[in-house]
Amino acid sequence: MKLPYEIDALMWDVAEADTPELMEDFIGRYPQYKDELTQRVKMVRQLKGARPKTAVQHDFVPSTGPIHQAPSRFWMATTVTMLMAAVVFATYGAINYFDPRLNPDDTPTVTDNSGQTQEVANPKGPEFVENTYINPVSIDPNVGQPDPIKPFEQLITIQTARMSLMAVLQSIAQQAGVRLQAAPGIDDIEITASYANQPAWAVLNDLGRNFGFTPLEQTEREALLIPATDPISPPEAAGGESFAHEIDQDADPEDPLEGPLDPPAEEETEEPEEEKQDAGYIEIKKSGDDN
Amino acid sequence: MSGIIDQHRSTAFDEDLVLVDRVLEGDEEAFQTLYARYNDKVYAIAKGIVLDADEASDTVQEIFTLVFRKLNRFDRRARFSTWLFRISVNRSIQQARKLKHSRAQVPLTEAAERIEDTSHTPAPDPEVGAALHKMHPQDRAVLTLFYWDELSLQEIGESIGCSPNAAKTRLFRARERFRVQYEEEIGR
Repeated sequence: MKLPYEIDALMWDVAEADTPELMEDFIGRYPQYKDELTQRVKMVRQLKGARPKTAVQHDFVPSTGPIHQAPSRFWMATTVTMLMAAVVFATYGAINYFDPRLNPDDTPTVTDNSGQTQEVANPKGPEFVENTYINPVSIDPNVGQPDPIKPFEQLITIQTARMSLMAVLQSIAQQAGVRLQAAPGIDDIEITASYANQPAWAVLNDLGRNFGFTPLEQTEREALLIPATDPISPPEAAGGESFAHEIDQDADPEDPLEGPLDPPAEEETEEPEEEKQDAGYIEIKKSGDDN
Repeated sequence: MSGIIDQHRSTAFDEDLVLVDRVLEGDEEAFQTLYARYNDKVYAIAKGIVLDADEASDTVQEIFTLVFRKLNRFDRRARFSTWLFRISVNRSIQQARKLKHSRAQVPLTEAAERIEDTSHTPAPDPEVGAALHKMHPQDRAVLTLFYWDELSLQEIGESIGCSPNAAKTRLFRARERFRVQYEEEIGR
């Protein structure tokens, strides 16, 4: 039975007072609630009557043992927080420990044709770590991110003058974070080369065409250089003419200064020296050419 | 003016504080006096919340032991009795929670019989005991303080850590819950 709040509260007051005058007065005003009031009076009497009358009175003897007390909320919250932090650190440590990308075998190296292997130290420090596929800080950097750049697609810059081919290859390995292995038969000649912000694989292909080797991709981070070239392979966009052609493709056709022109005369296809420098070129100079 | 001051002094005088000071000075007899004065009320609180006579007796001993050990932390902002009742309510609720699981597996009729068997309780209405068993310890604490220890809403509020108005609301709700449970028990 749902009662109005005022009558409900008044009925409780009357039931708790438990005096005949108040009860008669209430029933006189609200005769429809007589049964309810009677029930409440009985209930309150029973509830009050359930009070333990007297406790057994002994002299108080303080207990000497420890009294168990519930831990305070502060300590419980602190403990839970520390446990959660421990779980997070343990998970992080386990992921780092088992992450194959952090295998020390993945250190960039170059093996020349004499069989000597050189490990390449991290040439760029923390920035290199953050911007390449090796990322020990984040647990999974690829979630929600575009595909990472593959090592052989890393843009590299080579500016050498009369430098040995093996040193150039070592520089490529350093910059791209890859391992290059040169098979016997590749001459360690002295070369001059210039590539600005070119993919490592394209640079290797271009060097290979010019110096008589072919890079074969073994894994995502390893390549084998064999002393042979495919005479019918098309040139790749790393330098020379093919790269110059790519620049032309990027030109704005609507721009009267850059738009498509008539096919240039044969002698005009050669680029000036400065443009070669920008686009990338290779000068072959064998070790004994100076003499 | 002097009459007002005298009246203030007379109302501010609290014999419990004198006893507390004596206990703090090392007089253990003074604590026996406090124990004798409040044992019944503390037992009523413990019994009303824990519901088991033996557990209530143990809880009373723990409460007074705690008070005896921590008496130096009584800051006198409230009356000693209020501080004692607050400790009693908190300690009894802790004890009731510890016993909750084992008690949940005891049939209500058996629980009611156990209440009747206690030497401290003169055969209360079993429906009251059964209805109290179905309530939360916090609700039982409010009912106990109001109906058994006959504290005012102000004192109840201080004992359970809320304002008098909040104590009134809690009492109203606890009473309604008890009424529902009690009417279920008597089959109304």
